[in-house]
Amino acid sequence: MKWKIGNTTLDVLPPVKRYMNAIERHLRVDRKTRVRIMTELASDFQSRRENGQSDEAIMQELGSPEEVAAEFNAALDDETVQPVSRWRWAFVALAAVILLARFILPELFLLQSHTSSIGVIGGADGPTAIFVSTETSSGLWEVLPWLLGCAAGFLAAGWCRRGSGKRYAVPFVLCLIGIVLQLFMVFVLQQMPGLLAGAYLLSQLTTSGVWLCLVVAIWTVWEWRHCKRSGKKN
Amino acid sequence: MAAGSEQRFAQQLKKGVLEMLVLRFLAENPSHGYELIVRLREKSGGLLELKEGTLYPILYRLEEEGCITSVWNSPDGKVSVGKIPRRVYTVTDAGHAMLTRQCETWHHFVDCVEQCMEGESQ
Repeated sequence: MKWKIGNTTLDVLPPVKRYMNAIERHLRVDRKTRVRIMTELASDFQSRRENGQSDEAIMQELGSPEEVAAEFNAALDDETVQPVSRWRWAFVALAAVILLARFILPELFLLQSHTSSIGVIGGADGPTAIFVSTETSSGLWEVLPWLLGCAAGFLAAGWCRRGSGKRYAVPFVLCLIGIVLQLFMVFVLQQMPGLLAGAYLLSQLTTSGVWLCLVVAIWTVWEWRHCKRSGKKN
Repeated sequence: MAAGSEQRFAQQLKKGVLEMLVLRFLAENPSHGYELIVRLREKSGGLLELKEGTLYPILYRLEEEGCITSVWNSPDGKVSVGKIPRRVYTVTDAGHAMLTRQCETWHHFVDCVEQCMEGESQ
């Protein structure tokens, strides 16, 4: 099994990979230090193997992944680095559900609401062909704010926590793009007057990705402020 | 002394001298992390049993202070399958100077403690 640390790849057995991944997950240090720690741990692991120790014995001697990471965290504690949240995968799941609901399921069940036109070809005694055309391109525009919100949430709960506070700008910008896109669709494409557009947005509380973008944008700002405060304290 | 407080006392002593010992061992011979762990364990008869989580933060701090430098023992720091680079640590001039000062402080400290202990036993 291959194990990738930074730009290096090692050949390890699955239990060792799980063990190393668990240590990496529990480390509260910046990316550069994390890669360095993991490479040095891998190098030590290799040295212990060369000394005749089995993988199980090495893992036992090093201690549990939580213990190993806790020792590093206690000595190198960086309060500006928050642990990566497992909830980031919820955003991936949400994006998958949205794509499934918008593109896959309608294709399977040929839902009327997602068809732009239905044509019948044939003579008076019965149709010889029926064609249904779906609105794939406009569908993509509709789900784009959702997908941008999901991508922003995923980054904010993972990648941003492993680096400096400046990283939060990326999910924030993604959310802004999502909101602007949605507003553009409402005001320009559908040519709705202001009040109607507002009502339309409110009516789409559960179906419009703008709300997700809004929530994630606020959360991103909150996380960035928290990161900045911790940095000042240090 | 209860076993718990005895252990805590030994840990505190160990914590205080580790930086000096690491510098001393590296001054003797540039080494990578695991090599240092083994040398410390062997020389101390098992008393200084260090874990990676204790040693590497000390090495990183010493490097940050300019007392040691490190290089990967493979030229580009990259590895192929089955080959892992090792970071070899070496003491700098500043590190040697720091080690001299720490040794002086340590000897002075030991003399003082011994004097106090002798006074107590008389």
